[in-house]
Amino acid sequence: MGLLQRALDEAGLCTLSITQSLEITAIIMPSRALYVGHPFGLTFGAIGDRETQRAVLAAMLDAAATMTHRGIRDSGFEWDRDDLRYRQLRKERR
Amino acid sequence: MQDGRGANFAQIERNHVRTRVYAPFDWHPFDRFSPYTPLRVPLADARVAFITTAGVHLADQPSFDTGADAGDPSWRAIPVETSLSDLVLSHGGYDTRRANEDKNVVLPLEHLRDLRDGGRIGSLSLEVYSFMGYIADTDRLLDVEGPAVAARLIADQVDLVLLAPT
Repeated sequence: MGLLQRALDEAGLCTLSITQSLEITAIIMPSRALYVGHPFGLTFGAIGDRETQRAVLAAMLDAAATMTHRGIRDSGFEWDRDDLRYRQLRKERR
Repeated sequence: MQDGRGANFAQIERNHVRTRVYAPFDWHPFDRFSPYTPLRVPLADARVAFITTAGVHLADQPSFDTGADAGDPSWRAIPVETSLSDLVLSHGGYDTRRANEDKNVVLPLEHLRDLRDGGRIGSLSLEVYSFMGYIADTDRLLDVEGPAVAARLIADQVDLVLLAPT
């Protein structure tokens, strides 16, 4: 994702991405990213949770319009429904 | 910001890919941010594009190659009015069963159209774009596929590109 964003940035496009891994984004360094602490595969929120899905998308738009410098913004979205993200980050299967 | 209660996911992912999938893999590090182009119009006037790496595609488009050790840097263009029920997922890097139940969790196409119809954004690009996020050999992505999608977005006069991983 970050490498693709870099290619679009190099082409002069205005971009804003979600990052779900601060460590990877710190390596790839795309122009602007919004950190969302949701599990992989549930980027915008839980199944059927349209309110959160819309809120994450709105946060992307807000960041795109108001981040005037390169870097990462914390959206404040975290995942406390279960340990799915915790297990994903450690490559644990169950 | 704290990522995953202390887990260094970049290191864990690197080791996982190298030992189980693609031995030559390593991150492609950079020492500076890529160029930043500001949004030059208000959101209410902006033409917005969306790119997912969730491995989404139309049922009649070729599946992504989830069996290739080095990944698959190809992409699919999906008309922006497509019904989510016409989309399928092929991705080896995450459990697609959840996203199959509600594709808005990786490609919030219904919400994007609502934002457009409600005037929050000006318009949507003709197509949204989808990649399959496992791309361990990155040269073709950086040199060919990424610039090709960029050219299409520029031709579509897009003001803002939103990108979401899985």
